[in-house]
Amino acid sequence: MIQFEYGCPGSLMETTSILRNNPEAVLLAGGTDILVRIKQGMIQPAMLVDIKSITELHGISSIEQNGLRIGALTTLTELVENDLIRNRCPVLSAAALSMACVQVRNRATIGGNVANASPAADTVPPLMAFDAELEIFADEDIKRVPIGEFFTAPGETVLQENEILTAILIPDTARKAHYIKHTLREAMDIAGVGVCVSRKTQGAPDPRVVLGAVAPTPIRVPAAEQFLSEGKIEEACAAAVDAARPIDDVRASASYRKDVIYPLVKRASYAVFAR
Amino acid sequence: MTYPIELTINGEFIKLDIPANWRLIDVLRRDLSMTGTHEGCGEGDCGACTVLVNGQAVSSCLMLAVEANGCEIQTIEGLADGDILHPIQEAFIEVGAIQCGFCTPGMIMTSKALLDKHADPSEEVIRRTLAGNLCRCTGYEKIVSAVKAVSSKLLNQTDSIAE
Repeated sequence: MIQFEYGCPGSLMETTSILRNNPEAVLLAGGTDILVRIKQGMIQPAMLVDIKSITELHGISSIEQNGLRIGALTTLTELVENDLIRNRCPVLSAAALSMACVQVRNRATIGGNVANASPAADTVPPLMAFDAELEIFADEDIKRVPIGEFFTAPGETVLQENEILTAILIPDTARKAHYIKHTLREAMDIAGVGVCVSRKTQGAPDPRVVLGAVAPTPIRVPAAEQFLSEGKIEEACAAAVDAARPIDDVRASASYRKDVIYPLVKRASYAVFAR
Repeated sequence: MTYPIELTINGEFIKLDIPANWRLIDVLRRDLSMTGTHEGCGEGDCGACTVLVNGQAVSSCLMLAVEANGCEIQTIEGLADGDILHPIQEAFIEVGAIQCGFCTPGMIMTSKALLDKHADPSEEVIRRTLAGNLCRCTGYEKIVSAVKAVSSKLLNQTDSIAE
């Protein structure tokens, strides 16, 4: 492995000052993606800045009436096991359990999964289906960015070089949601297509339809959401297929991905709208 | 440049000075000559390098040694008590869950993390937990049987203590 320096700051302020002085530095959370990328020569950071000692990045708490604040360093295992998440946002626990293996889930973090900006990131479709917001430490201040505005391209986000993703906020968990991860293997696989459908549990359903791994970023499909709110499931499925812009890769061909979106959206919609 | 770390490995307190790019598995195998932890893929896909960090199964190829500062590490070398094998090791031998043996330390450490938390896991849970430990010899059946055998053995022991 190439040589690099190591920093282990105890606060966000200290972290941003390290980042200012070391433009070639990269943040290290769980490390399950970054260490593989270093090993494969895809990145050559001069320094890894380990943010795991920063206490405010840890922890899961209740906010407002029905909301959740999930610290960026929350591990996938914590998402699987934490009672607040399991009770209020079980779809996020299920998505986390579908990822990698227990060894990786014990290290990998939700913040890393979001900030890596993989189009196939499994935590993202559920988070988008709950209108999650991202809490970002920027210029000694905290700002909030809707998760739908965060991703710009595969591996690219609006996050600036000295900004840090500190938490994921779910303002209102009063939704029923279903995530389907379509893979070719049962375990240890990355989504070929991911579909998450959600609806409000009270009042008008205000549905969300989110697709993963079929476009440069995870996408919401407003046209499909409109059809679902009118009870038109078949039309919603067709709209989701239209919105997808998949590519051919090792996991699936673009045409296969297009083909499976329809039945997956249908299944997820029935799961959420069934009485 | 090197970084000082302090950690506990199999109950022994150890201080080291190591470069930032050394992974936990490098310290175990190269520095401490503890070669029971194996490196297969080096990318977190095969599970051969599994150790326990603060009781949790972790791929030691995906963790820098500097990240292990202050942690409690358990490796396959720490399981046996002198000549007396750990019940999981015994079960693997009794059931015949070992062929070439390359994956065995990782299999046993992942199983230990599971059994430490759930004394009586279902077959489904055993299989899902071991999903990240690849074995190219056994076909997995006997490995799953060994974990089941040891869980019922451990349960019986707990019962007899309770009586």
